[in-house]
Amino acid sequence: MSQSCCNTSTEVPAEVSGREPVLFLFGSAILWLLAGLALSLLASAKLNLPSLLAGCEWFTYGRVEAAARTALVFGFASQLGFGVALWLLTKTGAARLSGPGVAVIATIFWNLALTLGVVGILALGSNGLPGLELPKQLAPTLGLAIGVLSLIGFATFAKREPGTSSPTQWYLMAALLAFPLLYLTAQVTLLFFPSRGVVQAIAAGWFGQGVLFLWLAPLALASLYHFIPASTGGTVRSPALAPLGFWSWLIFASWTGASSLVGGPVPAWVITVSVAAGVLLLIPVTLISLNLSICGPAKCTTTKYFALLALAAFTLGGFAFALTSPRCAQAVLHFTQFNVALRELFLFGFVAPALFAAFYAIVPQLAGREFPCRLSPKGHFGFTVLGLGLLLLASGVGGWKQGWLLADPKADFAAVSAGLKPWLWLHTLALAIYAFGQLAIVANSVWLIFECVKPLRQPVLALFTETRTAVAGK
Amino acid sequence: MNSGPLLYFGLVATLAASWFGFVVVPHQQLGALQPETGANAAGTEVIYPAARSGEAAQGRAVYQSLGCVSCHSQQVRSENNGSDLARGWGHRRTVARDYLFDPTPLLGVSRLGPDLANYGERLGTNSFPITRLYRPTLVVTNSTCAAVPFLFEERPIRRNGPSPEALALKGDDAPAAGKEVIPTLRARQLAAYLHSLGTSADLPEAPLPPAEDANAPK
Repeated sequence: MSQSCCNTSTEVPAEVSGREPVLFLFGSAILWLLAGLALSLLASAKLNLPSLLAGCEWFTYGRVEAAARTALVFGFASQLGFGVALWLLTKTGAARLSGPGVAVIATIFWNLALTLGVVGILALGSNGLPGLELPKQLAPTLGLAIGVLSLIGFATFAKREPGTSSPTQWYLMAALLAFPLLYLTAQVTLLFFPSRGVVQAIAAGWFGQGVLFLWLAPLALASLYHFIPASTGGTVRSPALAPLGFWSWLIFASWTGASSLVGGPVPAWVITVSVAAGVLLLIPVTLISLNLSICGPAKCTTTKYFALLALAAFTLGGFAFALTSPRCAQAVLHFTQFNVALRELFLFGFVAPALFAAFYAIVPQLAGREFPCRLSPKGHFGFTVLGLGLLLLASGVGGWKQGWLLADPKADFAAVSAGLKPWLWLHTLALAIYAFGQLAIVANSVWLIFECVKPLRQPVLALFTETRTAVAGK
Repeated sequence: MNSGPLLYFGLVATLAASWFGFVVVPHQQLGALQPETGANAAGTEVIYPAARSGEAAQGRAVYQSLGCVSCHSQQVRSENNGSDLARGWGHRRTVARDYLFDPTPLLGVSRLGPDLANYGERLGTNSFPITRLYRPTLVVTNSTCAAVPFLFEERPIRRNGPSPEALALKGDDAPAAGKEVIPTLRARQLAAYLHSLGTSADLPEAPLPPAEDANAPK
């Protein structure tokens, strides 16, 4: 292992060629994770204590909730995902990253735009389009950053050995193509040239679902297709099933756009198509889960733990989503915390752990040294599982009960709210536990940075002393 | 699967198909929708929907900016899609035409609070209890609604007596002696918007139920 983390030899292997942009994306993602969880926690607490920070317009529930979602999806998951994607493309294609400097610049602009955007949501308010709350003035900057990073991914993919590809690469290409296209069409049809009435709601649903199912999910699956075999020492069960799982996921997932509009004032066929596509997701979820449930001889690592957790959440969440898609289920569960539980299972249980699995494997390679604290990843994993379990209990069971109370017209709305109260408290507690666990990865990363900087401190100090003596001698 | 261009082509085709389905076709189907002439709940012929008046339209912007849509939906589902009608949240299900003049339809995805599609009609001739915005728990015990006291101002009582708009606050909530709490312009706009919420008009695609069957909104 190289002694210094900042050794810039030209003979580095391909997967280290993207060190600066990948580590930069990872670092910003972790900071956004902190910000996003802090905002989520505040939003959750405000449901229990409505008078908390009530005097401050910036921290009204609706704004905090929108800012939290934006920070988690566009700041944390998307940037961590881009970092993992770029690294995986260099690794699987044995190709050097194209334009690492451009990637760093794109990431800087991404973070600037997003910071302004999140502050903008808090200061100026939401625009009423869930998932698209970022002020439109920042959309071109963020869109350009997304486009540039995706193009860098494509260029790196093109440098692989011709005529070869792997499931990891397919999922990455799908994600890198879907995100810029979704973002572009959504911004144009919703913010710059808005269509009339509920057409906007359908387009916003298509975009929101697309960001989850066609951008974040393929990124997480790409990570699992690489790191589950790599960390367990086994092989994918059936390489022949992989293309089937891939295409069926993309085709069905792309048609679930109106799944948050069941029963709503939109053409019935839109909902029917979404419901059918949602149920049909059973096929890719089963195929992918079977294909990736691998037992291998390798000993347990943090990567393996997180990858298997992500796979379990994918299977559970996929089945739950498919089985609660039909109208009869959504008649009860729509508008309740149950759908919040599904979203949290997706983001906190599937996407985040799948990307953390990659994070724990990639960072030591790029930094040239292991994570300094051995215990911290175990704590991170433990609190993640505990927090996730309690989140599912709080939102899942609480939302289920809320749905049945709402469905009963004899139950007064006040009774529905009162019935939900203990579950909302449990949700805040669960979120706090989950967030506490994530502090482990932050602390470990900060420590790693200090360890990396340490060898540089001696020469810098020496230089400083020398200059001082020289100045004093004059 | 090993050919890059073929992979791109497949992916673009998949995405384009769903974009066509969820963006282009609904636009073709609903983009040219026009208001209708029909009877309202009182039986008068009206052109529906009509654009909101100035104050209510400004209130809509306040509602949107505060993110009220996070907890309040504005849609009534049909009787086999939940209990919305039985709860008295509307006389009929809402349809695409109801949202024709909304710059952004605030359909909502959560019901931590009740549906507001017909809130104005539920209020009827009563004026909106504006104290609800200042501190929801003063009006509905155990309300989880976010308080928005920043839409109110505390000011010294004027020489010609307390303002008729001043909130009737008691005990711990009462302002200091000689002061009163009154709603700002934005609070009054928001109240006007809430009063404007209603979808009780006969539409060909969603007729109002016959008068004798109609449950008065609770």
